[in-house]
Amino acid sequence: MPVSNKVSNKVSNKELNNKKALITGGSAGLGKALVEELCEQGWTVTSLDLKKPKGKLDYTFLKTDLSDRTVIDQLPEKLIEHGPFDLVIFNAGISATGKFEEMPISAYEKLMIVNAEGPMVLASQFANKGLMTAKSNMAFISSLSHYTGYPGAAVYAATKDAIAVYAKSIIKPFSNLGISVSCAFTGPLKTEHAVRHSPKNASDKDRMLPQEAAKLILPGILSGKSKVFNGYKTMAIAFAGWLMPPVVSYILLKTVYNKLDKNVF
Amino acid sequence: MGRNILITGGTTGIGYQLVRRLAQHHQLMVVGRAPNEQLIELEGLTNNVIIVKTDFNNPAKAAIDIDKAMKKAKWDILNNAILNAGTGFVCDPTQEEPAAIRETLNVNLLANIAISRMLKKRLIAGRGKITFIGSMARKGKENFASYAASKAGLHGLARALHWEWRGIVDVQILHLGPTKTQMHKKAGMKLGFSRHFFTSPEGMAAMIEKSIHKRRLSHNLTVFQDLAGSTFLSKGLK
Repeated sequence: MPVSNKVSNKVSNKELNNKKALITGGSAGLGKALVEELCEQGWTVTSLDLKKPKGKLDYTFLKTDLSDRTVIDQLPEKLIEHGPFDLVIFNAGISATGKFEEMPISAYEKLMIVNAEGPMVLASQFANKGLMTAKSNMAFISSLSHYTGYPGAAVYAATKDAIAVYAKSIIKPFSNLGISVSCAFTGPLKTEHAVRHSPKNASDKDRMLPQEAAKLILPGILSGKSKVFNGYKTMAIAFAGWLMPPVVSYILLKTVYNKLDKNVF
Repeated sequence: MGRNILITGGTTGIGYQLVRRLAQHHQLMVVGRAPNEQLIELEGLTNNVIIVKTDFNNPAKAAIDIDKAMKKAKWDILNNAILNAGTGFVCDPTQEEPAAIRETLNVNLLANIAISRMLKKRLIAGRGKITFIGSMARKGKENFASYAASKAGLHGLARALHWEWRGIVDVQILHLGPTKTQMHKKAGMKLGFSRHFFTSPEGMAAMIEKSIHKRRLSHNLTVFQDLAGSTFLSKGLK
């Protein structure tokens, strides 16, 4: 009986594991894949997002607008009953693609809050308000653009650079509290978010499924690696970007920026 | 006479030293939170320095204030924008206050985004150049985490714009090493023996002026470049 087998397997996983995880932006894309993977492994998961996914959920969903500063300020208080967490992944992210000067400043403000400011504020609050256990993992999701530059998404790239360097800077101070800090650099994924922000007719054959990416980055995060990539291909592109930044930026200019036909924010 | 140059954070520190250097030959618009007395005196003595007061912690408004001042002064073209305003707080990142993180990101990153976005038309008209002032800390620094993050973000912004605006507006970023300004004191940092590796604000301003004509995206300006003679070996802004 395969069905009952699966259920009993899950229950025993939960008993074995008994660990709590918090994922932001867990309703779509990579976040959803991470939530599903953790539930599969028996974690008790709390997900924060704007929209509740359809169907019955085997985790806690809290409707949260992570682009609202007051919501972010109240969040640690609100999360105390769901914590302390053994794993926190700041995965929520938005983008704005198009010509830099044509997008409104309000879109950039929102981008900054969701991608950089929010995670930074929450990280320090979680650490000093005891929302992390004494042996826990915290992870930020940056982007491959940290290594390559990203013409056509200047402010998105700026927020992802900021969060990557923030993660790197806090490794030591956070380790004193028993929190290991990772930063994941993900390459192009096959998500709705990516389709919305890529040029029309862009091929998606090189994009990785979020489920696959989640499986690749979770072990790295849980073992406390400071830099995590979703596979060797992403790592190779990062290396190329590090080795010859102008060449990689030029390729992106030709393949992405010059083909953008609309501003999306 | 000379160029139209915008300098943000020009009321103290390195920015003020830049103003002193450039005021002899160029039209300056100096933007800052609180102008010092010498600067006001300079504005009174010469007719080529305009002071604009604004708070970079409110990025959208800062851009509007500068836009208004430029309209008032009939600056339809801009030759150089030196976006130098910056702030930072030294602390253990596990204890950092949300307000400090927000101010750092606003002043160092979002204000520069808002201002450079607003300046583009004038810069095209003046075949101009944006010079962002970054920091050597952009690679990461514990106890200065959000400052390092904001400067890393600034590098990412400059890198993307450098390519997006290629052929229209030049974009560069200069990463400064430690400088003897009020910032470290204000940030709560105690300097011991390390102060010997700090450049003077005057020296740093000279290095910035002489790096503006360089064409590469980013340059590091530290005490080593200073000792190697970069203040007197290259050309200034003519």
